[in-house]
Amino acid sequence: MFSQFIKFFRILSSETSPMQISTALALAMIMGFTPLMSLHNLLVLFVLLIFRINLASFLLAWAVFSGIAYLLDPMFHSVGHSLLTNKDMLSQWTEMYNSTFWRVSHFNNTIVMGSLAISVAAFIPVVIISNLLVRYYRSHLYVHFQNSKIVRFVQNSKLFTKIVSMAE
Amino acid sequence: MNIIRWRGFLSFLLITGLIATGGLFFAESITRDFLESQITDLNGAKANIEKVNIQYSPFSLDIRNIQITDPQQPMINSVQIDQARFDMSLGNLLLKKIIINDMSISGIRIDTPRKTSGAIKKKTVPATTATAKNKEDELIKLPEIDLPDIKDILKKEPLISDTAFKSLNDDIDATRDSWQKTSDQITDKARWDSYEKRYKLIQDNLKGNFQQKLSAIQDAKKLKDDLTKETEQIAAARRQFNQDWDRLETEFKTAKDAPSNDVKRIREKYSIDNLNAENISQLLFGPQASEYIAMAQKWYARLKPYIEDDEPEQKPVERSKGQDIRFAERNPMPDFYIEKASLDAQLPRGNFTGSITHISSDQSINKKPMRLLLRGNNLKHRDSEEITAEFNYIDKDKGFSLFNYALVNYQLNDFAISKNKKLALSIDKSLMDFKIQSRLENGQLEGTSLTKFDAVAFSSNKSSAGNSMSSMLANSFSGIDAFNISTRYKGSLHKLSFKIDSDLDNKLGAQMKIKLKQRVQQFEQQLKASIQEKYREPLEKIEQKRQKLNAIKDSIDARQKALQQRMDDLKTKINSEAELKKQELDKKLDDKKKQKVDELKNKLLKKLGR
Repeated sequence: MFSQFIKFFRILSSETSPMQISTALALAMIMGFTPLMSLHNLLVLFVLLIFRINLASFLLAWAVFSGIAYLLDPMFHSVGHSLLTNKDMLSQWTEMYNSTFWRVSHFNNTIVMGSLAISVAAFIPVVIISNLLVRYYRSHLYVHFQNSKIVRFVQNSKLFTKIVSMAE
Repeated sequence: MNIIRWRGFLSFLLITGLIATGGLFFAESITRDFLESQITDLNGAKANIEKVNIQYSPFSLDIRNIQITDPQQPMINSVQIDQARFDMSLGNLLLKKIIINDMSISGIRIDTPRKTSGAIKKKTVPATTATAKNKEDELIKLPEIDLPDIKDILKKEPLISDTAFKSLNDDIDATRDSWQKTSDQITDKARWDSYEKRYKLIQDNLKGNFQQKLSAIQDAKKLKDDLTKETEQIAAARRQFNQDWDRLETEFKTAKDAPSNDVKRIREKYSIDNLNAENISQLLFGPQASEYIAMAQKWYARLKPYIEDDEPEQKPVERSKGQDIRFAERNPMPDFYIEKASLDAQLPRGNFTGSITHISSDQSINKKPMRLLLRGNNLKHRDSEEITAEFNYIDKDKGFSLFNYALVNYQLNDFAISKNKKLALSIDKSLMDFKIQSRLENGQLEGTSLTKFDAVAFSSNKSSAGNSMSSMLANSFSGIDAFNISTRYKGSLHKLSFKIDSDLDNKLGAQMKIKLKQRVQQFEQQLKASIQEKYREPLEKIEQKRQKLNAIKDSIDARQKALQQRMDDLKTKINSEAELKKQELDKKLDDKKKQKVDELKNKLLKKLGR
């Protein structure tokens, strides 16, 4: 996990496109928030593998978002329940419920529906915000960060060197 | 920069391809293990499947050699099926619904031996065989055919009379001791002699001078007080005697009635009241009916897990699992549904073919009852055999099950109809028709059965020449060549009451009934006489003791009477002496008054100078 952090910070400082990192974070959010064995995660995996998206960032963010998801479960259930019991959408849900494909997607589960709805809604904002943050870090924070006493101390420590060598 | 990562695309294809291939490759063994564990859980003992073949177009399952262990006998398969084929809907299976359009089960056999034990450790199998036997015993209490031996009964039966007579005897002895003690205390000779002396002294003194008379009166008062105390003591003893006497009378009555009560109890215990020709069919065929009921209970217990409706439990929403919201389905189907199952069973009595339609985990969804039809072909020793059943739980509150069975022209040989030790009756040869109709609703079973026997030849373990009741019965059967038995049963599955009627009762003849009745009456009289004889002597002894007690009571009564007389006498004497004394005093006063008046008169005359 720690090595993943080191890798992530290296990627942040590298020439990897900010878009690749921010897309990885947004996709990790979908996979982390929603139950893993869901049909849409196959699509996420497909997108992740076929497009040039940063895998290390994805793996780290996935772990983080999975932890957050545990805390947000009650909210996902509540959002999913209100969406699935919304009378205006009843005909749409009924139509989907009668389709094998949608039933296999398990859309009628409150957690699946709630977490997917929230993560899809947050996808674009997460991409944009994380993109801006990466750019801001590279242009403003990186130099200060590298020159800070703490970072220097950590970088010069034997433990850090060992961990880096293990990560590589 | 190329945004497509071709290596990634290939990796995706490779991963999904591997998963799909692995799934296909292991699907059969996964399915087999899944089915085995599911059936084992339902059955309560191991279920084994030899092989599962899956075909994907059209989707079907072919299961070979299914062995389902009998939970009560782990080395026996309650059912073994050679082949079961299911044509299923794959789409529904993906939705976790098992929808089988057509199912064929062939090579069904029952009670086949197993090579290894099918017991599972986690569940302790209740000894239902023994329980069933016990329940069978509870179903009906059958009397013996022959009357029991009176001597044996008197030897082994604890009698109420024993307790009653012992208790009465002990109480009489204790009461007698207590009464004797009280009586001795009351009739203490020295004390009464002293009273007598005092009385005589009083009488003598009363004849003496004035002083003596005065002393006599004072003594008489003291004696009266003492005698009053004695009277009170006697009255208290008398009250106690009355209470004791009443209690002893009650116990005496109980002891006197005890032999009759013993006869009544023994009559009930040995079901002697049931021993009459009116219910001879219940007597003879009751155990057989019990055996069939036990068998039906055993089969119901086996089928129960499969036919009972699984009511989905309302579980609370589990964190991280959410809740599945259900919407209206165009073609609603239960989670488990078999439209039609064809059956082919090879049983020792012949081949049976049939079908079960609309097997459903929730009939309220598919709105059709489950129906079973099973018919025998090429049967041994019978013309036809048919089972039909309906399990209708479309409306869960009014759900019911129907079961019908019909057997025609069954060639019966060496059929034991009574296994009673005293009269083992069997049919050597007969043709039998049997029909049964049952309805199970709200846990209550109700039904009737009719059995017709034709061309009957009876045989018995009793010689018809004997004089015992069983011989008498055996003899009566020899002239019967056809009879019917009808049974009506009602109640819960575990406590079923049934009534068996048969025209045998009429065919056995009126004479048989009269003889039976006479025997029973004679037996009762003999039993009563024996018990009474046993207690005749103790009763006489008790009677003597009662008389002795009565004598004590009489002596106390006599003492009380004498005392009362003496008291009255004393009272009269005191009163008369007091009266005499009063009169004497009055006279003396009058004399003194007159003397004084005369003196005053003389003085006055002197003063006047006359």
